[in-house]
Amino acid sequence: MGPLTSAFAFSEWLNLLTAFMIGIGFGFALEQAGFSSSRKLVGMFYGYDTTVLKVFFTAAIFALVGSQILNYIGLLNLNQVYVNEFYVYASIIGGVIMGGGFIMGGYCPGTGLCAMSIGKVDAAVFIAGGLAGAFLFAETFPMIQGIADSGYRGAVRINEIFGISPGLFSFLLITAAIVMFWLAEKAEVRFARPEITNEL
Amino acid sequence: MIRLIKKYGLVMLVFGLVLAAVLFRAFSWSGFRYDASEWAEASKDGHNIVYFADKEKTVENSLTVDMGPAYSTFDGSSGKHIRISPDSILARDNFNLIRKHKGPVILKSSDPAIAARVWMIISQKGIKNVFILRDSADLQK
Amino acid sequence: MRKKVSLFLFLCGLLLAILPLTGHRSFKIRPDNLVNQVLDPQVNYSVDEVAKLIVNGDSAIRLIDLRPRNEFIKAGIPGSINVPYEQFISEDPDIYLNDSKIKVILYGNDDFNSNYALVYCRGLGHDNAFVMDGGLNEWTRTIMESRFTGSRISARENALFEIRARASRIFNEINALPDSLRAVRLTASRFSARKLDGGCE
Repeated sequence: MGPLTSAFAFSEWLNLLTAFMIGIGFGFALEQAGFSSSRKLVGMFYGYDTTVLKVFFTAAIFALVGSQILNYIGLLNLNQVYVNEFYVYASIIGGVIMGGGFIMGGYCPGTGLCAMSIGKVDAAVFIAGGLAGAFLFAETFPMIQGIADSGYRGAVRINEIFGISPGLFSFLLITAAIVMFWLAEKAEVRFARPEITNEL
Repeated sequence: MIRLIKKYGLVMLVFGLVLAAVLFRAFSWSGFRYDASEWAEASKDGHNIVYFADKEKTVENSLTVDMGPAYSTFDGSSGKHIRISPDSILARDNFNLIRKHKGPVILKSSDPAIAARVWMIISQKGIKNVFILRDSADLQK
Repeated sequence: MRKKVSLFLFLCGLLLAILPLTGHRSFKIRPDNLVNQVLDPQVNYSVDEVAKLIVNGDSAIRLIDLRPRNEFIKAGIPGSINVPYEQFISEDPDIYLNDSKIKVILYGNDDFNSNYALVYCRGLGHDNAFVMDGGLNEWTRTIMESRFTGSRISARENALFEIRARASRIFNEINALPDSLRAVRLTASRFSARKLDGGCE
């Protein structure tokens, strides 16, 4: 578990237990925020409920700020944090499929598991579909490998592409996020729908 | 103003803690500069080495720091000469002599390992104009 | 609440924009501790000590060759990995020193780069960094060109020259192999060398 493991030399079981506890916390937070409701999740795309944007983006920005400051102070080594390798075409195609699946199914994988854990049948079917999709990808990988591996750009960070410092990029992202939150609030008023949860 | 503090007091407190941690790190008591790699740059291509044969030509107004272990007699070259043992190189008076010297500082030692180690330590404390005196005969070894 | 969170994040963003953030780190131990550490003779390994570690196949050490790649390809101490000095300093050496149980012994042709790297690693908090005195030049003089010139040899000297001879043999054998076979040969030699170990030391 990142800095904890390296700072305190966690044993394997303690490492896994820490991961388990953090996972419990994450699932608890998702459920508390209402992310097991597919109506709330797809509200992001229809504009009447932008909770997803605000919660996830805020969490991402807190992680960004926290990791940068901890790195500066010396408590975290960002060079040891894994950065996903970027494949342009695979990311675009996967993003389109993921977005389409999200708006049709009403869940993403994490929130789908969250909803399934509270007994929602549609979430269970969604997760089953996701697993089937993963299986299908694995089985057909030799056929699609060409496009999956094309457009390789390496493990790049966005600030490296723009040639600006990580700190400046963080500031710009935070500013953009605050502007987006403000716009999201306007959209919620514009695209408001009556709350029907209690009627269901 | 008081209303503002009451309203945003918690934000100011948390931000203040973050700022304090950052400032503490920036002006750390360790005295080493940020970004160790940048301060080690001169060692990558040998720009921090002065060869004995070139010393007179290239290092006017120099301060030569003789760190032994075998202290050599004064070789008659120009510039100031002082003797400091490596373990007291960071003692306040000694370090101030090095830090405040306007011209190049040349580290001299009969043990090249000592000179290299002291060079890196001094450079990481932000002193830029430091060189190691190397006998060109070393290159033959 | 939203305004407070936004204000806090905005202030943090401003702070981050001002900070000289890079991917690199700074020395984090106290200067006087660092001086004491790097001047302690225990950070030095003589070439004879390194030769003994190689002959015994000690797996608790890692040798890092700081010379340029083209020099390493021609010849290097068996079992060492090549990380040219410029690359070693530019990257984060954590990847080579993150296991505190493994002693990392640095060497170059002479004493300069290895000792710069030693202070660099120790300054970043890695107390498992050490240096081989004299570098490969000293290795060549002491191990590869080792000759006994006396009339009588003591048991201790005999053991020393035997280690040197075996290390020299391993060095020549390994460096004569193509790169792909070097690692395989080393693993096999660890088992056979241990069986022959013995005698007075």
